[in-house]
Formats: sequence, structure tokens, C-alpha cells
Amino acid sequence: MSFFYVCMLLLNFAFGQEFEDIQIEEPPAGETPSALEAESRTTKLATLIRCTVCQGLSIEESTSTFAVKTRQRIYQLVQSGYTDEQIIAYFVDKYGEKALLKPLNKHWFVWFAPVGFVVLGLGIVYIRAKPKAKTASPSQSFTQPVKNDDTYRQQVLAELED
Amino acid sequence: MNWKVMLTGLAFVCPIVYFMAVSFDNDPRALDGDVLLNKPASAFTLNSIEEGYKISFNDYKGSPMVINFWAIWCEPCLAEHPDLLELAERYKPKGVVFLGMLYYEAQEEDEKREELRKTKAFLKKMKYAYPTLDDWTQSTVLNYGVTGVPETFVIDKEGVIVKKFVGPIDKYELSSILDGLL
Repeated sequence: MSFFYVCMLLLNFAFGQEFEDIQIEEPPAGETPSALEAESRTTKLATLIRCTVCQGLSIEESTSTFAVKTRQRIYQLVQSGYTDEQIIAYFVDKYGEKALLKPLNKHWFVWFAPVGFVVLGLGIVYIRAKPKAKTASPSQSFTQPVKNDDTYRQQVLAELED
Repeated sequence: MNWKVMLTGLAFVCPIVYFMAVSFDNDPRALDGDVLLNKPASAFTLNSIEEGYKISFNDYKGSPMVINFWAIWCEPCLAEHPDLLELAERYKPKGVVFLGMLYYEAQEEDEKREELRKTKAFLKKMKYAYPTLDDWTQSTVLNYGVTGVPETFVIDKEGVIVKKFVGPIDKYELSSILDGLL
């Protein structure tokens, strides 16, 4: 793979495209890596970026033209001293966040809201289902003696017969 | 009927139904087509495929620009080319800059050269109505977030991308946009 990238770099020189003409507005924030490190970082970054013309493949896995172009671009950026964060930010800037296979960890609401709703729902169910404690009826007073059930029943039956 | 329970249930169910209805039409893999809209266009300095000169984006600052990414093997690109020529003829005298940008499918050098040869032959037949630039390393393709061809960008006088056509252009829409930029 490193031989391939070296060939691509030589082709860049051969056809008058300046390798320094990276065409990114901000300067690189890192140092120029060795060829081995550049290749390793390129592979790692390529697994994070989605092949936009494929179904769920990273550009490392895909053999499409777009994937090849993107891998070359990543290698070029790594070789120029751009950090991984700068390179990811570059692709997000040009293609949007969906260019990444994994989203950036900004959407905490999407991740926690379903759990929150489930907990809230269970809480409401628990409160509604809790058996209510028996309390004295407002009409009764603890100072008044409780009527004998039999006597009370006799009175009710007598009134019903009337 | 317990209205409190009913309303609480609706308060939970309605947002879920709404998000489901919106999401059914949403392809999670589809890229946002307007990521670069209202952002400054990336600068470039590239060789024109007509021998002998370079073209720099910064040379045209202050003029509206139309940059068309295309390829010789792309049928829709060839189909829209007459529309672009017609618009170039109409708007170049008014100061609009039209540029073509090559999108290579080939990865091997000799295959790229063959694509380039065919492109030159095609454009010679079209009498080189406007410059086509050779983005040999395809850096500019990626700087413009291009994933396929044809894609056409309209850039205003301040160098900001105001419109992106994915697929063949709508010449009436493009004409209307250019009228607004002049």
C-alpha cells in the first residue's frame, strides 16, 4: 500500500500539480509524519469516513473511485502535517456529518431521550398503580363513637320497609 | 373518561408519531446537498486542458462563476453540455465566468490519460467555449464535496457558493440565479 501512495505522490509531481497546493484554508497543526505512520493514520482515518456512493462501507473497505480518491486525499493531508481532527473536520465541512460512519457525540438528546421517556413513563405507571392508603372518611370524627353495625343495619332495613 | 390519562397519553404518542412520519421520508445515508451552501468556495490553481496556461480561482474574484464538474464518460454530463454552452454564450459577455472541471473515473495513469484525450477531442469539437480545468489529483473535486457527476456550483461575486445542482442543470433555474447575481 505504501508503494501505491508513493507512486501517487510521484504522479502529482510529474504532472505539474504542486504537492504543496493542498487547497485547504487552514495551516496544518501537526508535524510531518514518517511514511509508515502516515500510512497507518490514513488507514485509521479511512475506516471512520463513509463511502458516500456505497451502502454502509467505509472508504477503507470500498474499491469505488470515490473511495480511492478520498484515501489519496487523506494520505496527502496526513503527509502535509494535518492532524486527525483537522482531517475529520475537513470532510465534515465538505460532505456534512453524514460523511462519518459514526456521528459526532453532540446529539446527547437523541441518545438519552428514549431512556428518559421510559423512566418517566414507568414512574407515572408506578404512581398511578400504587395502592392508596386507607384514610378515615371526612364525615367521621374520632371523637364520635362508631355505630354498631347490627343496629345501623336494623335502622336501614326499617327505613327501606317504610 | 379520564381526560388526564388521555391527554398524558397523547402528549407521549403524538411526538413519536410525528417523528416517525418525518423519518419515513428520510434516508439516513443520503448526504445533505446543501452543506457547502453560503460557504466560501475553495480556491484552486489548475491547468487548463488547452495546453499552456493555468487558471486560478482568485483571478475571477468579483465575478459570478459557474463551475461544472463533469466527465467524458458521463452521459448526463454530455446531455447538459449544450445548455451550459448556451448559457455561457448569453452570460459571459455580462461578466459571468464559466469553468469546467474534470472528474476522473480512472485510477491508473494510462487510463486517466485516455480519459483526458477523449475529453480534449470532445471539447475541440465544441470549440472550447469556456476553459475546462484538469484536476489531476482530484483535490478540487473533494474540496467541493463532489461525489459524482454532473454537479454544478454557482458562486457569487463574493466567492460564496449560492447554489449546487446535483445532476444535470435546470437551465431556466440557472439562468434565473445568474440574473440575480449580476
